[in-house]
Amino acid sequence: MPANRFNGYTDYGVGVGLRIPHYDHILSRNPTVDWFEIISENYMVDGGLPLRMLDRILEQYRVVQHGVSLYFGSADRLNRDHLRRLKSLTRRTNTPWLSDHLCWGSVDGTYSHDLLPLPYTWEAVRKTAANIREAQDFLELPIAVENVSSYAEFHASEMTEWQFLNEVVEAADCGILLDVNNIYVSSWNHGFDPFDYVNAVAPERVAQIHIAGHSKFEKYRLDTHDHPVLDPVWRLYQRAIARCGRTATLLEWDDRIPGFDEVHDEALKANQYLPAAIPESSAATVEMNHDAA
Amino acid sequence: MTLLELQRRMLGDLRVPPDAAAVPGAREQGARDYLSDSPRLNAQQRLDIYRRSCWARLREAVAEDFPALRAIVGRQRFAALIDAYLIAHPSRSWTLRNLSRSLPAWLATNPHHGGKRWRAAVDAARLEWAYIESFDAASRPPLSPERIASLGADSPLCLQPHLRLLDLGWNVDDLVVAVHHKEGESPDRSGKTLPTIRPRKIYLAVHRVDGLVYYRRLDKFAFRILDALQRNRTLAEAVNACLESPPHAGSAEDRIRALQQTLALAGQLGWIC
Repeated sequence: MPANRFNGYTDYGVGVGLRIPHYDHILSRNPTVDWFEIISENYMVDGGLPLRMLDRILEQYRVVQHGVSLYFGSADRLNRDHLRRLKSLTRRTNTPWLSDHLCWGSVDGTYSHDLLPLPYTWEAVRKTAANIREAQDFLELPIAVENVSSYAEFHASEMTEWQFLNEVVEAADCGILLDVNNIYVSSWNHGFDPFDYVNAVAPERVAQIHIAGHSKFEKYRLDTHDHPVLDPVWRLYQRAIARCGRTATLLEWDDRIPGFDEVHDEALKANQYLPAAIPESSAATVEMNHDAA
Repeated sequence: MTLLELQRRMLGDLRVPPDAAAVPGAREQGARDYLSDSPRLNAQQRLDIYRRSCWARLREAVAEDFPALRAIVGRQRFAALIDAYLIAHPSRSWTLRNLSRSLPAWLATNPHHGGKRWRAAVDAARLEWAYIESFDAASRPPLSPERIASLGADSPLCLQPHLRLLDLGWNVDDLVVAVHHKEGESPDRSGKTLPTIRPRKIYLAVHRVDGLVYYRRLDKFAFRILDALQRNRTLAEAVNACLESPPHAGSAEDRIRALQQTLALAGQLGWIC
């Protein structure tokens, strides 16, 4: 959706992930970039260069926070120290929404530092939704949860992944960060039709979309974020945009990172699938007509 | 199996290194109990994708923190050291930044992982961890020289949170500087030989200026004063502790001069806050 309560009623376009090798280019050449996504954990520190560089970026650009270690699906309670630091960072960045993954990664206080898949059970729906609600209440910001790439399935699962996603976001009343590359990777690994997934997601809850590249191995696909976006992923993106409308879109490129211009050009390919932004005056007219109806 | 039981079981399986045969005591449970096969991969192969990814990430995180330690113990021993450390100290923090924090103390009690120059290896690990702590620790506004000059003997003094003080038995600071330099250089210039390390008592301050971490060697007296201040002693208590603990050679005038020099240096570098 162009702007909804899950992305803070913003209308962001195409952004790229902020990565350290690009700092010099960005700060010296000030490229025109609609927004940057940062990995929250990289800046949840007490001081030093990371925060200094972030502040310089914030002087010129809009930033949205994306996390990798809240682990909403862990049976443990959320880590309060983590939440406090995260909240402090959101006040620095003024992120309009915040995202993390629909996965688990820790148990009994021991961390895997990986995005592990959940069993699609009702127990996991309840526990995950409760954790998301707790985080949302504490952080006082809308949260969008991202579907992860997965390589394993549990005997215990009681529903499909997309049913699970819809149940969790409904129970938590949160948004979705729809990663179409992850959908493609998981569909190949588990043998489902990725369009079934995209067609089933509640479009009114999609706050943001991720696109990325992945790697092909003989027996599986791996979410590596070290390639340009592949054609089947663009086709899924096109379908997602057809369902959701113009949605904030972010290219992830995390390994074997090329120069900034190459990454940004790859991200901007998304524009060919995005409908033009509705001018403010037209948007107001549409809204008035809708109200009248 | 409840969600908690399943997660305990799977994390236990993931904590076994992918090449577990090399690690004594490692035990592997069957993934088939909770994961299903796919047409292309069985349950164990599917779990192994996660296991390889988890261990690659953890190993890389520790390796990035200790390039000088690797230079001392050698690549092969370093790889075994990392796995043994990760088995003994699984991550207990949400951030990978803290993954290596127990490694210096762990290595100090596990000499067989340090090789022939174990004590140098421990010093290098302590120094490289101090670098990480100094890099992103908080920084407070420093006291002005006038304010420092007006301090009384009983004034409580604070040192910058990014300041770390180390007493080392080897000149590993030379090695750490060289290794960090080498890592930042282009591959064609990175073939330079590393400095030789030798047993030598060194008192070192690790601190940050304008976002960059620096090392500064201190004399013993300055180290002791600063170390006492870092333990929340007042100036008078710090001086007394220093003078009481022998040996401190020199006259009373020498000691006063040394104290003044230490405070001047700390003030100049913005360490007092």
